[in-house]
Amino acid sequence: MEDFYFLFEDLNNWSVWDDKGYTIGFMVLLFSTLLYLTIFYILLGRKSMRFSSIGNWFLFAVYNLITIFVFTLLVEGFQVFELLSFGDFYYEIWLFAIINTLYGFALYFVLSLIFKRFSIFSKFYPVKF
Amino acid sequence: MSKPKLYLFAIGGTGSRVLNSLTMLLATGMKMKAEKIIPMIIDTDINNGDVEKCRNTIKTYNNIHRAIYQGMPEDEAQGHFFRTKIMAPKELNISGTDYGTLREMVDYNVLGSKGFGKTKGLFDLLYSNKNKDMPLEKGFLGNPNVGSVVLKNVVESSEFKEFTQDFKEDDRIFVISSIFGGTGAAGFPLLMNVFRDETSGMNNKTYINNAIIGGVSVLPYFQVDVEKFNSGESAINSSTFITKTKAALSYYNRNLRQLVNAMFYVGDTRQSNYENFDGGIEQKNPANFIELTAASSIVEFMDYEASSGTKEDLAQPCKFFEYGINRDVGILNLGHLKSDENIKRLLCFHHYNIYVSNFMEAALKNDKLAWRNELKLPAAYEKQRFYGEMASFTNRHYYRWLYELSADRHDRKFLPFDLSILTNKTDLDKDLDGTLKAKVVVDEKKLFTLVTGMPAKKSKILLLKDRIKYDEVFSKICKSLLETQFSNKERMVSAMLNRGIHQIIDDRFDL
Repeated sequence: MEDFYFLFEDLNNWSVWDDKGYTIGFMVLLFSTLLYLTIFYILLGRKSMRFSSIGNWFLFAVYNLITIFVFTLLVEGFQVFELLSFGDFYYEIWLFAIINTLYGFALYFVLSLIFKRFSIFSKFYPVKF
Repeated sequence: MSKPKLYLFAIGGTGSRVLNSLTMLLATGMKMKAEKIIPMIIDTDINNGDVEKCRNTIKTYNNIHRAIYQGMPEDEAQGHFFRTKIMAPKELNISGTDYGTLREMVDYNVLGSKGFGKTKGLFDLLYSNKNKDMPLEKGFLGNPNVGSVVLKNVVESSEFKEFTQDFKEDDRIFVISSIFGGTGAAGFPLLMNVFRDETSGMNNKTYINNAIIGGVSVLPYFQVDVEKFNSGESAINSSTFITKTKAALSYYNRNLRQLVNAMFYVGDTRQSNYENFDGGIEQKNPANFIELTAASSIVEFMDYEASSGTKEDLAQPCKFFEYGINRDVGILNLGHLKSDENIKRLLCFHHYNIYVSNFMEAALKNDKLAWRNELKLPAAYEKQRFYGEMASFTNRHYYRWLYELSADRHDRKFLPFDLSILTNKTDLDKDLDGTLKAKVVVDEKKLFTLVTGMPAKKSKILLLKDRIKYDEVFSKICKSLLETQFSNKERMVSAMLNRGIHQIIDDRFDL
């Protein structure tokens, strides 16, 4: 998991990251992305054409990023590092949340290419092939 | 047993207009128990605007039919739009221009010198000088006595000979004519006598003699401007239509009932008012509900004892039919029609046309649209000929026909659909050539109120606005279409449109 967050090297000496931080961050990233892709491609994408557009695909990506950012921040801050308030948050947690968010977009795009085949109306978003 | 062919003789302007309405009915997917229809147009007025219009409509219909159904087994896709094959009309050209006048045609001036003095005398008895000198280039202008002589030449034409050569056992013949004019009133009895003439030397005489023959005779349903007749501008006098009809009916009763197997009569006491033209390119009368009923009689005729191959197989030698409506109202809509199946077909076809004219081009341009990609339509498919023909049929022929049926000139209008969607009605009125495209504007709300007196069902889910979503339905069904092997893209698109639109109509209307 450390390797996955290679951009985060300067925190490697922080043992708690190795134990829980990376894994939980990744779980947030994965589940949020899966959730939004399921909503976009399967729940909505098989039911109605209303949301089948590149604009809506992007909008769901933004929802996903917001969710990842907020959840990463909260889960890492309060659950992993057991901090009591936002004022206590380390600079590294904010940085990790931002990086996780960026990863979120990449994962959303990659998994879209897999999920789109399960859709009826959004089958050709974001790219046609 | 394969289905019989139907040889459809359309005589005069009314014949062509009925043929035009039949083309529209067949475009809706009305099932016709015929392998194909071979229209034979008989009109001495070769420049007649109605004939030209009919010719163009059938041509576009055929282009669409060919693109979709060429090579398809007969029983497949029955009931689909444009399913029945209509051959290009054969025109039994007996150009009145070539004959000049009746006097010139029979060489009247030399009859006496050739020893036909008695014939000349009889001729004088039957024809006034006005009849003799009437130019034949624009038909017989309400004079069937003139037509009965001239039309005899039809049987000498190469097209008629082709018809006799191609005629097979079990094929059927149907004749469309008006009873109150000139060409139709003269042509119908003449053709019947030729078909049943046991002494004639025509090809396949036995088959033709024994064929099941039907006819629709259109009783007076319009009148023309009498002032033009009074001032000598036109030779057509509509005040004589009823008298002529009575005389012709009496003649038919005495002489035709032994010859024809199924006779349909249609007419209307609420008459339309047309401009008085002596034929020619200017004669473009608007489509009329009566012509539509006459066209439906052709479908009825093919259903009439469908298992019978010859007249000997029929339960009774001759049967007469009339068409009636339940209520005598000035504006008819779908609710006044008898058959639910026909109502559904008209409804489906209207929605098909709405989709083609307003939504299909945008759909074909949308390269991310599911159905377009699932069917793997090539790029710029909207610019290809098939879509062009579909759009042409819809915008140039269908909407115009629909608009004409509801024209102010009719005392009984047929207004099945809301025509406020047409935005260039004034231009359509002025366009005599019939080349102008109808402009149609339909918004999402309008889609629910397209049918007169029959709004589409709406469903409300929370606060979401209900919409009729053609592309959504098409995209849902196209996956299952791919399981069927289609030999070309056009057939695939047609199957999708048929299935999808029928599904929408089933969901939205209680029929």
